[in-house]
Amino acid sequence: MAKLPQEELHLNLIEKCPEDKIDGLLHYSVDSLCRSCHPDYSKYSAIWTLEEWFNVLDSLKKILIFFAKSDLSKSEVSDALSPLPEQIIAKIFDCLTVRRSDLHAALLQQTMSISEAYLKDFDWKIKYALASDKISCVEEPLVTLSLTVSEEGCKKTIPVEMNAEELKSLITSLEAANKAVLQLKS
Amino acid sequence: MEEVDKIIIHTCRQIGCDLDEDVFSLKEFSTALVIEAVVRCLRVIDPSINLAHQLPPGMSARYRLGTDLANACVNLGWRGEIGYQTFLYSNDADIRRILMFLIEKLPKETATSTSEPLGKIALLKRRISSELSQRLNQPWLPPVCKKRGIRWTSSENWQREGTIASHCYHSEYLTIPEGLGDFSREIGEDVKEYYMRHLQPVNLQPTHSKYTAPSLMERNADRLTTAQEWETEWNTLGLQSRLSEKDYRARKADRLQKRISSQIQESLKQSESSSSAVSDLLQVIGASSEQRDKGKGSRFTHTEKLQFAKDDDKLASEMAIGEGPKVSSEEEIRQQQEDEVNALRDQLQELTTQVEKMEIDMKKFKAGMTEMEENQKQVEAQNVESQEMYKVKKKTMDLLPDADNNIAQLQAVVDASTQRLQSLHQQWEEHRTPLIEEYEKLQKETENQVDESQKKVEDIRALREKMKEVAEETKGKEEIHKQLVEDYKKMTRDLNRSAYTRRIMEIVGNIRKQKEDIEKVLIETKGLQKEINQASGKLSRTFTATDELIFKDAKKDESVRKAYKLLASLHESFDEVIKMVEDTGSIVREIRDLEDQVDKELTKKTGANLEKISSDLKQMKTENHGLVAKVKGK
Amino acid sequence: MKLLCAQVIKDLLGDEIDYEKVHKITSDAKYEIGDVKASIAALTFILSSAVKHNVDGDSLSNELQQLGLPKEHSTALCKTYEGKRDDVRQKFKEQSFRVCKLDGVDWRVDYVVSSSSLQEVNEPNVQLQLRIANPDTESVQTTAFTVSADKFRVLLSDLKEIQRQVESLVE
Repeated sequence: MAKLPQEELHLNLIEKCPEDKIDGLLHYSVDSLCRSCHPDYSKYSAIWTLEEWFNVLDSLKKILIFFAKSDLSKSEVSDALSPLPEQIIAKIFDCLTVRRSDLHAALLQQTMSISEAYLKDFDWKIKYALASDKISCVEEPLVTLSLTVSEEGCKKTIPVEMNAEELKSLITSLEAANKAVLQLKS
Repeated sequence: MEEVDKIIIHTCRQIGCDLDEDVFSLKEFSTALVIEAVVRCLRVIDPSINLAHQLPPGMSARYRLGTDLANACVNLGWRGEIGYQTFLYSNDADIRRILMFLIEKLPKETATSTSEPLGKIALLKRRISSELSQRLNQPWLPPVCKKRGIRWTSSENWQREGTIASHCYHSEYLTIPEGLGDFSREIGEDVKEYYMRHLQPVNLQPTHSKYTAPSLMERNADRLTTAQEWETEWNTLGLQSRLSEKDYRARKADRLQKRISSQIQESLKQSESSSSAVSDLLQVIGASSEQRDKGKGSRFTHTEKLQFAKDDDKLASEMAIGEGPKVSSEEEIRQQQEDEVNALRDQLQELTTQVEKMEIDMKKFKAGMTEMEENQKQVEAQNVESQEMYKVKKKTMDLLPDADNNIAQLQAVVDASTQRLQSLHQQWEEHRTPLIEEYEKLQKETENQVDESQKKVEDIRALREKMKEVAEETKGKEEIHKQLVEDYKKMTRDLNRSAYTRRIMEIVGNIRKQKEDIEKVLIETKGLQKEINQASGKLSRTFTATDELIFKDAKKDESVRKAYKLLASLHESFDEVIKMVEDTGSIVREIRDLEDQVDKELTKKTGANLEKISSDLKQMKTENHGLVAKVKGK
Repeated sequence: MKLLCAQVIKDLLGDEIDYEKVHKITSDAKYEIGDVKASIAALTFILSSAVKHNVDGDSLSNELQQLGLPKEHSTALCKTYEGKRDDVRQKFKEQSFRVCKLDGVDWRVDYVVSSSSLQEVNEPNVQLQLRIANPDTESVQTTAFTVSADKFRVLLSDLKEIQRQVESLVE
């Protein structure tokens, strides 16, 4: 098993954290793993300088990811973090168990982002085309599906306009894919 | 008449007549009110009619208005006498009839509302066109006048203009407390602590408040579809497997794992790549549950299910992504590794050529060896055969001297063994039959059980389907209920509806009673008529009989002849009397009719109207005089 | 006249005008080249406007006669027009402006066993490739991306909802 590179983790800084604040800090770092968060330095300004705080946050994230990744037991956690005081290790482990599902979701998201491009969001609207330059009365419903795809870290929106038939063919092919997905789900 | 008046007054109020609250009957209608009611009705029926609904001050103008109204009524199909006097010098019976006629002609709202829903598309088109025409008529507003792109057309209606306030649909991951609705389940102490102290409310979780709604929607859709999918799968496959939900999931996961790993292994065997990456991959898959991480901190394996055809270069490069921690001396290491690899490769090549040579030699030797072995085998077989032959021959030779005895002995041995065999067979049969029976019984039982369970599964499925159906039905019914409630709310506008229907029912009842009475009277009259007819018949018969009798005697006796004459005169005078009585009856009837007519005429307040007419005439005359004077004055 | 109309309608339907035939047709009437151009342009305008507003043949012939076209010409024109009206209408409907069209979808289902971020993933995901056609440039652009199983499920259910609504809009 790979060891945590302890020299990079600023454990001495983490140690400085008072016991009543470590909980909040841990949960905050999980939150910032799940989604981008507003910085929350003011609460901790008495303990660390800004740079230190960022370092602490970084190393806490690293620790959490490291443990969440492979689902370690308590003894393994405490072994890996041995220089830290008992209470802090216990807190870290508590946080890991409480936020397991959140961390799992965040890591799944990271896995997704390994792909070259992945679908982040989608939105749609139904329009009713009334007339065009060629025909004074078209009267056909159209669907615009806009897919927000994250490609190499930047978002790109792909609009797709479909009429009823195109939509139907899209759905039938996706339906077939869904069948395959269902077989692979547990 | 009261009900009719009420209905008329109610309708008049609905179409906008300014009636006082305490007007209850048409008798209280003044001329001005009558005019107003009629004009409003006419306007609703035909919006093109342009008449003033206020009584003009001038007499001649009033007369003209009355004539116009009468003409309009005739145009609408009024049959009956009508003229300016009907409106200006009204009596309530006429007015009632005219108003009833007009109210019947009023366009019916309910009829239009039922014909309206022609279909969703027609409605949509109508709405689109009305919206478009409305917007086209609006003046342009500079963007500064529209806060967040919203333009208020009235205090309730607004529309979006421009895209100033719109943004992309962007959802983020939200943490939502779970299991709070279920009090029976304990929430762990630490989880509770987290929920209470550290979990932010959902609206604060996204980076921007505008992302809250999309995030929540996304989350909800995710949950909903998951539940739906699971429901369908459980209904179709889950129930058939006859496992509990948890077991079913576990089994499926297990099977999947096996399938994937076997497929990967198979495809690995096929592709003859012997690089370390593959063994690495195999380790991951084979031992993903216990054994973790050997040397490398991470791996990236992206397996495609059926066509596992990844070239090693790609895999290696992908692996390189994961080699995070050892970045510092990577260059050197790589160089070293490359050198080593080259050296090793050369060595390998040498060795392979050697091995190939050796293999060829080995093949030659092997071929020789197999040949030899075959030969040996043949010889050995021959040997064994002759040995057998020898043994048999030897035994027979041994037995030959004492042949009879030996034969008998042999026979005995053979007999004994057959007997033993038979007894054993019997014993076996004895044991066998009960066992077979038992087996069959058990088999039947299991079959029964299987049948039963299948039936139960079927039942469960049917029940589930039913549940769904019922749920859908309830939904539909609820919707209908909602709609009906709405309709009802709309309907309560005319409060007296139920009262009216009740009244109408009462009236109908009354009419029925009256009809019965009339029938009774009719029957009575008929009876009387019959009696009269009978009596007159009897009379004529007796008269003729007496007449004949007396006439016969009259030829003989003078006094009888006199009596006959008297009889004739008697008969005549009685006839007269009857005629008189009938005449009196008809006269009495006539009198009653006339009295009725007089009553009717009296109700028309002709006297008052006459006075009014004469006063109006006077006024008109003065007006005319005034006009004449004016003309002359000019 | 009829033949000329047929040629113009052919043009509207996307084929090329056979100018030799046009030349033959018009040479009888001794048209100059300018006259030919003018008549083709006029016919194109008349026919495309009629199709645009979905005018029936009788009304068109009446209108043209009121404008001074001889009766035989206008009836001939209208006969060809009536015959091809629906085809041209369909063609125009197809040609009506569209932002883009969905030309086709390809998909592949992957099963992710493990990744650098997470030891045990064991989740399927879907690779989608959309071929989106741009009718203006007549080019087809392909975009491929990964969709997680959860997202895919939501997408599919949303699409079905859309289909329900769209179907309610189509008679």
